[in-house]
Amino acid sequence: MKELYDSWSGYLFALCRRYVPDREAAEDLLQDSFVKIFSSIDSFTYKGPGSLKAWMSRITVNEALQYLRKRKHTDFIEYKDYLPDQADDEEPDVGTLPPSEIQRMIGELPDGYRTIFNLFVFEEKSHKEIAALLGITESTSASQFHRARKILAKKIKDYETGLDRNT
Amino acid sequence: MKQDWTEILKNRMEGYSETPSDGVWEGVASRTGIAVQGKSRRMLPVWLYSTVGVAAVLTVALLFVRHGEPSPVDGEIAVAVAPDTLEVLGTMEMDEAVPVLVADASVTVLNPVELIDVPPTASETAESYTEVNTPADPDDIVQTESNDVIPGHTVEEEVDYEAEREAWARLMAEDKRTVKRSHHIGIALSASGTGKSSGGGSSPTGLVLGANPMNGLGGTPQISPSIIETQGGLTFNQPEVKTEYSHKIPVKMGLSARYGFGRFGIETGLTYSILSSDIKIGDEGQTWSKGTQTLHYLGIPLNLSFDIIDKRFFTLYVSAGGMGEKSVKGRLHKDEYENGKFVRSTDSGVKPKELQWSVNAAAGFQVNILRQLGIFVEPGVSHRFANGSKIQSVYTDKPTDFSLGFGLRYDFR
Repeated sequence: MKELYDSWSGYLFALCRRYVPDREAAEDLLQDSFVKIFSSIDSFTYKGPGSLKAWMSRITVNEALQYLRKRKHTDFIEYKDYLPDQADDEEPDVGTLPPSEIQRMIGELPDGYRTIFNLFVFEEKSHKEIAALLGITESTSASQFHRARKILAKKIKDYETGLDRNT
Repeated sequence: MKQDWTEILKNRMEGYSETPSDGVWEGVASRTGIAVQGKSRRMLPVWLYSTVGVAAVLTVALLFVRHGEPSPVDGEIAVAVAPDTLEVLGTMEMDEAVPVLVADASVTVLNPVELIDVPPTASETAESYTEVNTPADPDDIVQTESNDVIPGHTVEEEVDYEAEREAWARLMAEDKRTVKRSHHIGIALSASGTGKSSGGGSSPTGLVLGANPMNGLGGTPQISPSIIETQGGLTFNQPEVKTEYSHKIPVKMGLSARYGFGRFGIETGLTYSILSSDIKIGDEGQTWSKGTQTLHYLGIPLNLSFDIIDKRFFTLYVSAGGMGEKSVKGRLHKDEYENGKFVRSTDSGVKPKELQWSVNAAAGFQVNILRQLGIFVEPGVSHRFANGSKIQSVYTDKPTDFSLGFGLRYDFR
């Protein structure tokens, strides 16, 4: 069991922090996730490479969503004033972006946006699935993802600009 | 197009990891019952297993001590026992007729050597005895006879000689094998529990197994010699003989399946119980017998249980419920003494026919060898409902009593 933890806690903790940036809360979340994983390990059937990772990730994401729901960190408010005005014509260059920075930026997104962004991009859920998971409409999911994307793109550009400026 | 940079983003995060603090693992370990140190984890099951092992060994040893598996003398002697005859010392009067022994095919032979052929299996005969209240089928003399019985009442002296003579006549006519034997001994233990002290004179109590009447009981055997010779020990006019029981705590072994919901669970399964009692008939000294009665019951319990402590490797729980059980096997082993000397050992089958219902409550400790499979030890209390059984055991004499159960449990979660 410890081996399983040692192998995967790093990855799963990063996953937790992507949903719940606060370190302490993310650690609680990680703990809950592992408890859940260990207590239901008997029901896991190996289906090929990556199936364990996927299974554990699924559990962790579910725990994250539950956590967010409980703490009402899922305000799907449309932050009208927060959106960048310019059209998103320029794609941010993320090729050289350090993962830790990406993590930080995602963490800075408003809760609802962040959740939807994570689910769409990382968990590769469809807007329909996200809507079902979060109890929102598909259009809300789509529009909020769109906004999250815009915000993140801006952040990345600002970072790169800043980086560029610093170098 | 739009997806591109987010796709790249995802890929860049693929191998990304962050290290949580140590407290996380500690929390996980304690919540799931895993020892924090790898080393202790390995040790944990070891001591648990050894505890369980010791408990199991002790229980098994206890079982054997109780049983003291007696082997029949020469493997040939079988004595059937009339169920009802065993009365605990101290029980009050019996208002109902006590089935007197009778033994027909299952007659014992005084001298083992003279045994010609093995009588029908003890259980078979015992079976015929267990039905006390229902009329016997024609082939079963014993039963018929026992129904007309002589009340082994300590106070009353009513004796149905007529019926008894008839019964004996039938007995004699029935099985030729029995006639061959030089001695026929009735079985049945004395029915009178209260013994001599009860006043009432000597009510015919049935023949004390083997040991007495013919051989000059220290009392007043009033049997005509002729009867003795042709019919073995007869039953009336026997002095009352004291029968003492010492019941041991029953041991139950079980296989159990539990369906859990939260901390509660419903379970059922199969329980095998062994009831062991030490018996002493008569008074030590001249002519007496001592023996062990072992009854085996198979039952189906239904319980509701609640986990007080539910960890990965062990569970502490309480449970309550009921059980219906049936005797599947029983044996009575007796050592008979005459004039102070050991004469013979006899073995007979004894099996109460009635269903035994009981309610119970227990606390248990279970070691989980697999997540869903555990070995448990469950001491408890149960109350057995009277079922009119004539065979005495801890169930009849101590309806509310302790028991010790252990077994395997499979949990469906």
